[in-house]
Amino acid sequence: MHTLKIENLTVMIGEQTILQDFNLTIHTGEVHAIMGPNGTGKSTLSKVIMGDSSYKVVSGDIWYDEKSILNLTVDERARLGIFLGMQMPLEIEGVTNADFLRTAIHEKEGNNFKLMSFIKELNQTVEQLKMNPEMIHRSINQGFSGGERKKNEILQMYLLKPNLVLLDEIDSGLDVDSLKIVGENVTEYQKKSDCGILLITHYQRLLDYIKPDFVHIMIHGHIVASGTADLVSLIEKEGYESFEQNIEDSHE
Amino acid sequence: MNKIRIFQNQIEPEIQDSTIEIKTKIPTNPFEVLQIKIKVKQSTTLELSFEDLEESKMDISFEVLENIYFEVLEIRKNNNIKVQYEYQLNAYSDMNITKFYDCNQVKELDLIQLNGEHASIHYRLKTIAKAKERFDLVVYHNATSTTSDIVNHGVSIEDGSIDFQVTSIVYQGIKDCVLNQNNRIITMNHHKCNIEPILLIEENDVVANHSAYIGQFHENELFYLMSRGIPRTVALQLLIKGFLLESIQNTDSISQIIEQYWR
Repeated sequence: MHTLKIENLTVMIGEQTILQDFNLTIHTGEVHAIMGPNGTGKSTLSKVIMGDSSYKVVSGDIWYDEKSILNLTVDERARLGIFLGMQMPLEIEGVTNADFLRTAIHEKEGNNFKLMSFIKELNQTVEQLKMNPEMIHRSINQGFSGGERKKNEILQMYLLKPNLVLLDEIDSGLDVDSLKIVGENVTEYQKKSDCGILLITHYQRLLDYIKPDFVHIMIHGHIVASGTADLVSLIEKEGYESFEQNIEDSHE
Repeated sequence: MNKIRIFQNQIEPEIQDSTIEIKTKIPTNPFEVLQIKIKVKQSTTLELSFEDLEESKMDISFEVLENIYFEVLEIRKNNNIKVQYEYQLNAYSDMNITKFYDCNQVKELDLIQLNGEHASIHYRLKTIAKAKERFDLVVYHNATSTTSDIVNHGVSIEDGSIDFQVTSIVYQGIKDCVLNQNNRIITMNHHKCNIEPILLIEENDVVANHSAYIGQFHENELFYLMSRGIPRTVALQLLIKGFLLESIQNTDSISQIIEQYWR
């Protein structure tokens, strides 16, 4: 079993505090969903876990299996088994998906890397995600639609086999059919690998396919409420206003 | 593929058919330069290869006749030569040029004359600069509905610096032309590089684009690659290879050059 523990984490960018005394623990096998209004620090959280140097950790710590990962580089965190599926995956011209994936898996597996097994698994996963096989030989995300980019993220997840998956608005830009494919494949991967998942989303529709064990509401850089999937129905009905109001009341 | 091997004051054409006509003038005194005139009469491909050249100067001109598709691949390694190129394209001709340089020093002038209607040129220069390199490229749209698509990509390493001066000219009355300039320099050292994209356009009925970038790779690109477990140095190698190979066809010779620096 693996555990990611975020303890009293405060994060700034420039002079602005984005996360404030943030706490969360995720074990493998668990699915956590974080919901909250725009600009509340959800994407920052996922990038800070991954080690994005644009953000400054002012206090607190992030532990992976009881070892602090704050001093690890982005690639070291990834090789521990942490994966970030990004909200807006970048286009990188000239670097083909195939080269990128082969390099990433070679770095992970070292001398155990087997090219033929990699190609076989790649082709199978492309088919499973109903992606155009030709995309593998195109530059990373170049000319991909929003949905194709998100499927490409899930393809990478499948091949890299992480223990902890962070999915930052993986549902944005997806049509109904693609949402179903992405949702079902994430669930299948979670069941197969028993990984932990942290889902960041605005909408219930993704949670129709990926059932969370825990739902957290995040406002102004920290979690203000946690519960089960029932919390999602409440948000759908009442929005975040009541949670924001509670914060204001408590400040008064 | 047809091939012309250029040695010190000597050339050796390996032309497999009658698609290309070549005229040369070998210098007879130190004030003259080697001249090569290439007339393309049928659609074909050509590789220019510069072999064991010491510091020297030469003029190379191409004339592409009407309705001809012509593809040129030029790979230059470890030389220090000054070349002036002239490309004359007639109506409905289409020329595709790929240049891949790994030289000690470069000073080059390229004059592109789009003389016939619907003539088009696709020019791709990739260079790894270890010393001072200067490229002057002037495109004359002399006829209506002509297209120029110019891509200059360079990586400066060691003592390298790059200067791209690209001028596209359309006079009044020359309608319906398409101009594209894409100039990018990735700096892996602290030497000054320069790009001057110049668009001299008198006619309104023209589509013109240009983009220019000098700097390093963006941190967010490195973050994306590293977030998949790829160490920073390997991620940089992937980005450099991608930058140098983007929009050109890879060959064994090009791969060998890149592997020499970024294995």
